Amino acid sequence: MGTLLSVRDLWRSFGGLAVTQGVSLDLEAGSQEAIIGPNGAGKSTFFNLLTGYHRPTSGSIVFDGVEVSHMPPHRIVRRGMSRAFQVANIFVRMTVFENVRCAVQAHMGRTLDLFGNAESQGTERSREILEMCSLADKAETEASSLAQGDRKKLELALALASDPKLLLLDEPTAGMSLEETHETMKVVDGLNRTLGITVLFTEHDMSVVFNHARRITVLHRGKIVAQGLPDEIRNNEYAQEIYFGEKS
Amino acid sequence: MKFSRIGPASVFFAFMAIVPLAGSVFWTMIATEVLIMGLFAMSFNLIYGYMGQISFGHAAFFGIGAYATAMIGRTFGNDYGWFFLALAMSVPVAAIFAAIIGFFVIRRTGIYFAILTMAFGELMFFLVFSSYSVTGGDNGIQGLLPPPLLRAPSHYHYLVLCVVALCFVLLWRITQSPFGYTLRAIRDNAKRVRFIGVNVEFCMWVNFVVAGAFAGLAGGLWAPFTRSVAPTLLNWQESGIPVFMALIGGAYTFAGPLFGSLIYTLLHAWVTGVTQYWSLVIGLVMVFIVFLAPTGVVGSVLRQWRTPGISAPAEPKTPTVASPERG
Repeated sequence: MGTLLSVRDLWRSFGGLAVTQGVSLDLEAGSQEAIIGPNGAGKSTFFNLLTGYHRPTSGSIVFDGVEVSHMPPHRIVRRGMSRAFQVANIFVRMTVFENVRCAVQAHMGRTLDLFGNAESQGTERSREILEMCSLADKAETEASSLAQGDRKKLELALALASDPKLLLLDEPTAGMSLEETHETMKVVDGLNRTLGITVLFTEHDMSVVFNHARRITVLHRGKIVAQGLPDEIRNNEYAQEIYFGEKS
Repeated sequence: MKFSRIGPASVFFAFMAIVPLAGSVFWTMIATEVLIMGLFAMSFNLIYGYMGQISFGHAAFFGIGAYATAMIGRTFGNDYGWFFLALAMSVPVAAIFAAIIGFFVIRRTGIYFAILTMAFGELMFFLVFSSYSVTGGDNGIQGLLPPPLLRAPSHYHYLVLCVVALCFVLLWRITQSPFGYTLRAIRDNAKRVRFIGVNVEFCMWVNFVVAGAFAGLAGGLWAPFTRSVAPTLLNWQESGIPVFMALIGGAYTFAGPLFGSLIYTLLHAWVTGVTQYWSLVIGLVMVFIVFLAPTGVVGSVLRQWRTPGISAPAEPKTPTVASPERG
């Protein structure tokens, strides 16, 4: 399989602070990888750059053969890169089902359908996605009353609605119980293995990282300091020092 | 589709249909006013209740629609063809202005959106006020008579009833469409909507134009109703009326603004008949509503009857207006 995402020498500064400093990264189609790094390493900024929420100061992002570094977020999503947020970012005054249906209809290009009936479009696909994210039993619940773990699942469901080729997950299991973490990562693995969706995620929980990523990139102060297979990272002195704060 | 949802509205329109039968010109005209202002308030609520932005300049489009109808009527007379054309033209004319103004205002949210709409509203007011040769300046345009068969208050009332009922159905369709749900999503979390692949600014702009078009039609109905137009139709006090109506009736219910218009207009008619202190009364009413029934009259009634949040947009946990988009 070819390269799905190719990032070259990406820089981004906020004021005088260079948060992303010359990051280059290639992602093979069908892979499942993690980016780790301490707080403030620039992981979320990196995702914001990839998805068009921030514009890079310089550098290029080629996704699926097309330069996307200057596209607005909605156009990047339509090209097949979607993301789930670290802090659940959902439509709180709509039901879980309406949340997903809205995203599915956006993917179907129905957003500007002013006179059609929303209740009859994309409902099958919405149910399918809720089923996949084990939220089917909460379909009619108003999103504002969901527990933290379910909010994160809904976050994932919204990201799936656009039928992505590349899924960026920013700490997908943050705030989840052990059981929910296990369940969610099983879903993510399934998306990767059975649907062939390429996954790039950040995570603080090292057991999740080492069990679910096939390659790990370590980001520190906006730079890539190590990259390799889980075992290599585990034994990488530099990564241990900056990430775990100790030499072993 | 769930008759229980549109049941109360059917009762409302049926009631509006029998008002003229009582034979009182005064009450017939009050009922006409309820309908026209109700349409105006519902158009405003596309922006407020559904999109989560508050406009303090919506009367600009009401006034532009009224002037469009008035100026065509003044130029071509009032035979039936010209009258209906003049009425219909209020829609595209208001929509064009909403498209231009909307292009700028949708670039900001929250308090900045509110201030921009108010600024553009006052700008339009000033343009109309000062373009003496075109609009009649502060004199406005008088003597706008509908064609003979529509001159009787009851006849005009039925025309308004038909138009407003049709708009009611159209607005209902819009709020139940994929577009309507996208608006709710933008209201809840505009940032996230971008990441499901929606061009948020474009959606907001389309909605602003649609809301302006319906407000324009309300204005178009208003001009022949009062036989005149004046620049004050566009000013910010006029823009405050649909805000009050939506809040009184319930901005987070579909028909709330319509019932808000009923309450506001009846109250206005009654209070101004007994005292000159209308501002004092409406001020007290608004304080009462905001503190004791923040979801409005319809919102409060619905909450007693059913679980919130499925059809109509549910009430917010925090005021939407005060929270400009984060991030």
